[in-house]
Amino acid sequence: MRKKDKERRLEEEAKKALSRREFFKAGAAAGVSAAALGGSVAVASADHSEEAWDYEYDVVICGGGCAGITAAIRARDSGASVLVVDQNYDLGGRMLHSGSFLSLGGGDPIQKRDMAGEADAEGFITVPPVEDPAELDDSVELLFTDVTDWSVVDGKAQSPYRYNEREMMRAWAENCPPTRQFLMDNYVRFTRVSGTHGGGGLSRARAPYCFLMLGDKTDIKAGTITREDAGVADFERTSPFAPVQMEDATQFVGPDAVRNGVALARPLEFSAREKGVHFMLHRAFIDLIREKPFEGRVTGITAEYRPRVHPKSGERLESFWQLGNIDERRPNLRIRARKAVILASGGHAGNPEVRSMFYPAMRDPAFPTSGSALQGPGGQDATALKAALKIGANLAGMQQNLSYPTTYHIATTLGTRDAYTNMMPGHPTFVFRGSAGVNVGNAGFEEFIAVNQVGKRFFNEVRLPKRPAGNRYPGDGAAPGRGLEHKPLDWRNCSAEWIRQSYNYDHGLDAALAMNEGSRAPNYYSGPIWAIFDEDAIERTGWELRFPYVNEENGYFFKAESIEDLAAKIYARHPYQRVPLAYLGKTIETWNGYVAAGADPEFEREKDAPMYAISKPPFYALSIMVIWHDSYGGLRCNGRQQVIDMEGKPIPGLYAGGEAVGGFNKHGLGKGHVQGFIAGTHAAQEG
Amino acid sequence: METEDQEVEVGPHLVVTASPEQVEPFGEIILTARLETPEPMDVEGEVVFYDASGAEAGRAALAGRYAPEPLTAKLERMAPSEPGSQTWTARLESDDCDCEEAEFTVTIAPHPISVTVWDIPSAIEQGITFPMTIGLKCPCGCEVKGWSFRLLNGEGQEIAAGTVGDEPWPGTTSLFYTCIDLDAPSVEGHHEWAVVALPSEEAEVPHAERKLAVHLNVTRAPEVTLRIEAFDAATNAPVPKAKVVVHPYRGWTNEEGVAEVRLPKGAYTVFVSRAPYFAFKSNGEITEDMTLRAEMFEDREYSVSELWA
Ligand SMILES: Cc1cc2nc3c(=O)[nH]c(=O)nc-3n(C[C@H](O)[C@H](O)[C@H](O)COP(=O)(O)OP(=O)(O)OC[C@H]3O[C@@H](n4cnc5c(N)ncnc54)[C@H](O)[C@@H]3O)c2cc1C
Repeated sequence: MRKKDKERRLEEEAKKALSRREFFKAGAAAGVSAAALGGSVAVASADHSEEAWDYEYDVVICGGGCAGITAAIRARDSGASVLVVDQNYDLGGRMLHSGSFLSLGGGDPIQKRDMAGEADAEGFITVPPVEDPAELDDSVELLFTDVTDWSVVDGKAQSPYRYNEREMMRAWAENCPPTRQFLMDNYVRFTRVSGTHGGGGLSRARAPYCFLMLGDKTDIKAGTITREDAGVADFERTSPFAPVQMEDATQFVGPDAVRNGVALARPLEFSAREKGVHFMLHRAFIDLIREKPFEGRVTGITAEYRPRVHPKSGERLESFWQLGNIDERRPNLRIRARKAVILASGGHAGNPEVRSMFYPAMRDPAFPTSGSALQGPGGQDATALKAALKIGANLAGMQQNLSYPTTYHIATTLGTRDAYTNMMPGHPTFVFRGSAGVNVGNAGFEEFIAVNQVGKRFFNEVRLPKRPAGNRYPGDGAAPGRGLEHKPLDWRNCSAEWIRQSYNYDHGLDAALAMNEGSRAPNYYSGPIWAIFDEDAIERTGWELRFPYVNEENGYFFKAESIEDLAAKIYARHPYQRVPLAYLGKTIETWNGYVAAGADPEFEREKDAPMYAISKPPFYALSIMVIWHDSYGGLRCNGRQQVIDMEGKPIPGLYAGGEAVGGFNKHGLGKGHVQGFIAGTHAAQEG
Repeated sequence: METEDQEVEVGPHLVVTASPEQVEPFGEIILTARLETPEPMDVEGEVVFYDASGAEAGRAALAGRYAPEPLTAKLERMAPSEPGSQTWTARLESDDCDCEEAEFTVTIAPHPISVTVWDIPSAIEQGITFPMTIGLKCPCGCEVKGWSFRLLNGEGQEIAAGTVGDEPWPGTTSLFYTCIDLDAPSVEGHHEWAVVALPSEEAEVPHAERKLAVHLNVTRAPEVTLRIEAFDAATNAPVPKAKVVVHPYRGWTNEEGVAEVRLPKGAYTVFVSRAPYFAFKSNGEITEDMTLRAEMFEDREYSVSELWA
């Protein structure tokens, strides 16, 4: 077939490539054009409809992030032709944005390396292991026990492990060691192991970061990155290569090492492109095509062209690398998957309607998900959930959204909607953010009062950003015995006495989300919240209220000559300020009275921190964001990552991984990579 | 305010109410248009509202079936700032129903005056002279240069009066201010005074008088010195530029991490705070000169894995 020839040619070109820069520039020319592949290819349609397919591949993957790229490489390694469709202009999803703290375990190769006190094969790691050998001495059995431990209860009195899907967890534990090796075989370099990531178990240390070495050239094969690409050359800039500035990894590697999701996502993307995976960007998958509405195989998907366009220049954003990209701009496509479709398009954290299933107050679109600028509005919009539900899929772990401490929280970065990232100007999507925000830390919350949409205080400000600790090694208050002292499956872990002792959830977030005088039927939104302070606060703190940290144009920062002016500006210019801050003047007058009296009878602020009058003009408002970070409830899958229907049967030809999947209260990457690995393995083996 | 109930004419018509009856300048106004029809009928369409100048003020959908409730279209928006009563109009755009344009009244309250009072010391010793800066501003943009104010004590007696100057406060364009010196009350303790801003008779549009409470902490003469030495619990290094609050006294630590606060003997709560530390807190009786070592613990800085968990 003509298409096969094209694929082969692409692979050959990829193999010829030498260094990364030249290779991928050349790759741009070799990007598959719409004319070459985009013509409709009529095939005998498996779903017996007469409709033609626009493309066909063995494996079609929805979403090119953590689970998606992993699955793509894995399936490609088995000889399958693979297409990844992604709604964004570039690949990597939230993985690219992430801290790359990648928790696996079960005796994975990095645990073993550190246990033996060895360095990496390339010799980049010059520091000794961070953890003692005993803390790294892991097994699949112990990992499986840990991630299904009924007895562990966190500082919010929630149980993070007991509701996990058992078959899926078993498969996950077994596949952790090979997945670590697989990632290493695809150019990912891991630092020393240091603790474990949330939901990764309490018994052993299982998580390293991913790193690259600063060098003269960005070269994935050699493991180097320039200071500019890493975003460390200028504190106020990031690069198109790295949306978030990379962090110093000296402690875990040695001098000149930098870490974060860039050192994970870019190497995997490089490898996938090199191996001949095809990508269709700006392309949102919409629906699954199944032979019958609730029966038979999944035979493909429909996908829509949704270009991400720069709001000022009007130009379409383009991915950093192009090799393997299919430039296809027709509005709607039907794409056939000869073997399987893998859903890897992330969760529902950016879909207020779906979120409200768990917490009705979070139906308010005023509250975003993390990294919304990078991902765009389609990034976490629950497409996988919606599409799979339409063909009969079942759900799992929906209550688990409530049992991860950071699912939603109040960010300490103020003055930006996208408050959960360090992205700076220089990255093409900074424009959707408009400001980087001011990270005031926990301590900064004593400098202001926090008011709701009508201008009333609602909680002790200094307690707003506090978060209960995660459930992870070495314990963090999640079990009476910390570190190696932790006893899995011990009833004392959840004795009432222990929970009373360890409970540490302040309900400030819930007070922020409470109904107030501005909440109206039918949704009764609580609305935005604001940090209000005066010129004296600037003098006390030295906060730099200038671009790129704040932006007077984007509606998340205001400065005014009087409190009344400030209220009027917020009401006029913040996109979600639906009502005036009618009480703001009175609130400040009252507050200044409390400051003079040294006591706050409403919220007892004087017990935790000093209080300051808000009196010296000009006056300021910075948005405070409630952020829904990630998703835990999602599609039910079995140990092969096949999506299970309402009758308990796998839906033939349909797999899922990452945040699209429920029943595993493990945060982030560790879940996504292993599930992608498992899904890619089995999808490629389908008949 | 509901428009005069007009004689119901033959045929459908809109009745529009603006709420509240008198709305604050730049406050929220809710316009509700009700479609009255002699017979229940299905109508889909949009009501378009026009302000006093004839400019479109917004649109709201009208949809559904008349019975049992009348169809309504509701628009919530920011009110204009020009005070007084104005006539606005509303028109139904619909293929299902023709009806007359409706008039209704929108009434805007007089402009408020923003009163800002600053630079009052947090502790004022009995009988001394202390400063106060008073600023006035019209949030709707009227110039308040030279407008007057009165200062009332806790009993409501006038203890000072004055006008703001011709120059705006540095860094502002229309916050006019004056600095005054006042005699502190002789009675120790908390005093609530008030500044009353008075509209100028020459103002082009009506303004409302505005009263702002002002709080004073009047203290005895200091008797003892509290020396605070702030240091990092992990490194023992001094913590400079930390805020020291011994209510109502305030200070800063110097480069050596030291602050000295003079105060009368008594019971106090001492806070020492500065990012990125947890606020240090200590309660106690201060009866003589004393030194307090403020051990500052770093607010457990979130690791990337926690922060970006
Ligand atoms: C700032 C930040 C820091 C983080 N740090 C860590 C960390 O240190 N450790 C950790 O374990 N986890 C971390 N995480 C979480 C982790 O990145 C995610 O949980 C993980 O990437 C989820 O994998 P995924 O494959 O489900 O989704 P993603 O990696 O987000 O990939 C989903 C992809 O699908 C695409 N997509 C979405 N909808 C559609 C559609 N309809 N059609 C086509 N494509 C679509 C998206 O554009 C995206 O590219 C972090 C997340 C963020 C935002």
